[in-house]
Amino acid sequence: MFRTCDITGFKVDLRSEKLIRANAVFAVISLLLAVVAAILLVFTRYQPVHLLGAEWYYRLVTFHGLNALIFWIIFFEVAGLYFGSTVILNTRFCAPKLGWFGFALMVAGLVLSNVIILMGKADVMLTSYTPLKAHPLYYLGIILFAVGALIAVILFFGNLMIARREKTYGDSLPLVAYGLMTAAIIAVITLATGAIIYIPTFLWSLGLIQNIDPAMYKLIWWGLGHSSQQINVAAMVSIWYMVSFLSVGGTSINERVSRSAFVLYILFICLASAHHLLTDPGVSSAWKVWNTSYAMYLAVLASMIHAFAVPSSFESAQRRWGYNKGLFQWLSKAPWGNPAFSSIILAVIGFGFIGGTTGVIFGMEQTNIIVHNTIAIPGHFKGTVVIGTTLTFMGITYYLIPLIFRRKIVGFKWAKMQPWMFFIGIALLSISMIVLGQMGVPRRHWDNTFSGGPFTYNFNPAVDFFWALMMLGGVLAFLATVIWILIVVVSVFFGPKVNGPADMQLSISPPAPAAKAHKGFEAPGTLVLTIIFLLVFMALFFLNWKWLAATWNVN
Amino acid sequence: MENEQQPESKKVPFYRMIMDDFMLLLFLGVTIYAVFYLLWGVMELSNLPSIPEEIKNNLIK
Amino acid sequence: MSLLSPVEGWYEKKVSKDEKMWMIIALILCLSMFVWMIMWHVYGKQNPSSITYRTSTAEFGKLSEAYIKKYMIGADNGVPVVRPEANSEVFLLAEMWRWSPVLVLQKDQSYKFHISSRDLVHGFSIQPVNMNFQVYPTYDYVLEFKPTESGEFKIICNEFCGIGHHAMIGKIVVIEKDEDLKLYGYENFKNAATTDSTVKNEVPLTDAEMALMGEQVYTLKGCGACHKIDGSSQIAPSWKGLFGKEEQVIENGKKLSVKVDEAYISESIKDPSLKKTVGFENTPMPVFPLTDDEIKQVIAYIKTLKN
Repeated sequence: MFRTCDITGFKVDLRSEKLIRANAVFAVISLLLAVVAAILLVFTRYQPVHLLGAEWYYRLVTFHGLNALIFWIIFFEVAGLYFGSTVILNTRFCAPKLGWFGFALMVAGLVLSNVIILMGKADVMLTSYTPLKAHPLYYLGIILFAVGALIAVILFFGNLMIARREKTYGDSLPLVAYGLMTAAIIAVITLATGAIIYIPTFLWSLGLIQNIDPAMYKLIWWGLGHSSQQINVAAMVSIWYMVSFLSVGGTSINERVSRSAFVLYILFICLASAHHLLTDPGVSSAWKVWNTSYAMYLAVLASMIHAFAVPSSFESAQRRWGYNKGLFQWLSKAPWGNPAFSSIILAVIGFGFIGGTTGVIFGMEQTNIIVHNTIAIPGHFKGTVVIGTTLTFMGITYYLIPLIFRRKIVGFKWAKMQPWMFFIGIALLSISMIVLGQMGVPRRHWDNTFSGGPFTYNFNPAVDFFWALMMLGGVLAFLATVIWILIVVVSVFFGPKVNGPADMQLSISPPAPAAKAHKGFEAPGTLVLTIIFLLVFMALFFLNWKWLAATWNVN
Repeated sequence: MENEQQPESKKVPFYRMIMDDFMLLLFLGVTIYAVFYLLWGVMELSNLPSIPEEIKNNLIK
Repeated sequence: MSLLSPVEGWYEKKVSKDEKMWMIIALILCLSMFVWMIMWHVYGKQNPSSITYRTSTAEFGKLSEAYIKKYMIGADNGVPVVRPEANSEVFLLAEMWRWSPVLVLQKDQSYKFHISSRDLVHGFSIQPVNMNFQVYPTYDYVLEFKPTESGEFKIICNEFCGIGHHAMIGKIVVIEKDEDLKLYGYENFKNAATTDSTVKNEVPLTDAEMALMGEQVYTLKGCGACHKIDGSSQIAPSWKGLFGKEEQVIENGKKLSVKVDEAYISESIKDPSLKKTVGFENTPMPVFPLTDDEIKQVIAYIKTLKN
């Protein structure tokens, strides 16, 4: 039932390994579907080409959203949850048959929803705001997928309980498992809310329920919609710590601090779904301010704690390895040739500087007025879920291929280059969209010239430049994603087998030597970087509030 | 030693106990979200007034 | 170690100086942002706080029509134009796929907008100011706006609402003095109606204005999807030369001949299943909820489509 990994020493339950592989494969399939749609959408919004007609544009926006934000991410996270609750804890998988049942539901859901969308019966966007109504099978597909994912989450907790009872880990979970536990708790919130909103909506689409109040729908839907993205944040940060350990033998410089940050996530991060309703009628300002601030920004504090704790985990280890010169030798002499390492560092930078800053600022009650439903919003979330989560998942896969699939990486030279290409592409795409949105360009909109309408409107001529930049970024990111998918598929199915530690192309570092007692700062380089981040954040903050103050008065 | 404590029952700090108890954390996370985001939000949406008569009467007799 | 159980004594380990410093800075930042949002309600001039009323699409639709009828001063490209008084209640209706009415506002005056939708969720987005709000059916969103600059502004829709989403664009014009109306071609409009409810509400429109508005209904309500104006009749009878024509229809299984007049067109829109045009039995017309005024405007438009 077990094999002992000859590279890491972990006890791997073979039944768990099969499930991890299956979910990972479908994650990659979902990403392929998502990215093919993405490039078609890029060339449609880039109006000199205007590739798709209106109908297919809106159809593929729905398709892309579902495959990218839900299927790709959750399949990968299920693989991660299984890995974190069995391999890391050296324990057995509690109920593999249920795992396969959950997997089958998720696959059925993916196929059903995607087919219905492509048949044109669900042109409602991922959000499917009522009274827009899709074919019942669309909602059923998502429900099946969600039930399958919920089973996986329950199995995760089941595995944890067995491991705790059988004492396969010490008193406290390893940090990476702790972070994945955070992700699993948020997943319970997400999926339970999903049931609350999708089951009645499904019944309404069948004609069994008369009416779904649109404001109630949106409130509840975002309890699923945004919380699903917060699962990503927790999983992503856990993987950052994991790569720190694997690549330089580092860990959090203070476990109590890092774990407390995860606890803050658990308690407060899901309140932020409110930032989707800031410019909506109905809910009060008190509700908006309390919830969008994640309760006085305590969950943002958690992110800022990780913003220090993650880089300092690298820096502290590197300094103990001897790279102690100046402020940044720890970084310049880091294993940049390790594509998992470079992916994570780029993901940290992108998530922090692009996604995180815009997220907090756009999510403030009043500044939301100047960005709601503009294309700045997808610009923001490509800075979080694409440059952050997706690049992180891509990066850790470079370790999964040899360790879980036991294959060598084919095209390793390409693997080294791919994270950079992806980062630059998405950074260009994301920043361009943010700028376009701040100039008023709408999201989910087929024609910038409003043809067919009684009037027309001309955007600031600068938009042409940013549309072109967005298109270039999109092309670059598309190519980088295809390269990644090719590397993964060819390696997993055709790559030479890994027979032992000598076959590892990415180094696995031993734990860094113990710290000698020292006064002063443990990670001065990280402190400088976080202060720079703070300055950038404050600049964007005041810029946006200044723009808000220049608009008409409203209350 | 005077006390009768078993070797296993060391005193665990309260906060550490909370941090390690993932079922408690699950309960707290779900409850805080359900109360502040869902319940409060649904309550507000359910308690909105209708358009005041005087505004309506200005337009429709 | 992050993949292994934490080292002994992890809970008691002291936080390093730099991490502590950063956490304090971060905490101050977080609490400041929270307070900032609250303070902006006191000192700032842009807050999405609103009064919201529950309504129904029927009720708000009626209120919007009554409002337009009462205060309309003209039409711009088929869309009625209204010039509200300062501090008055302004009704703005969103529907697939248009905003009505066009508004003429005074700079630095306040207006209480009542914004709602007749059908789906829409996105109210004023450009180039770039203010964005969500519009729901059955919810009357009351926002008090004060335009701080004069000029021509457009309302675009930024919440997906179907295939005509991109054509959904409205207009707000902000003037400083009456002469500014010339800039927008509105100089011949009637003077703004007062909010005195004793004023008669019928604003007689010329046939040309009615026809223009009918063309808007034709385009924006989707009639154009099936009824072509170039003479071709694939899915539905073409409107070219339709008015006054003798048409063969089937009523209750019996074939008969009718004249296409106002009554016939009105009946066909309200209940298309009563008389089915011969040759189009396989493509039955769905019910389109048009108001009586819109039906009149469509008829006026059809009349202009001569052979």
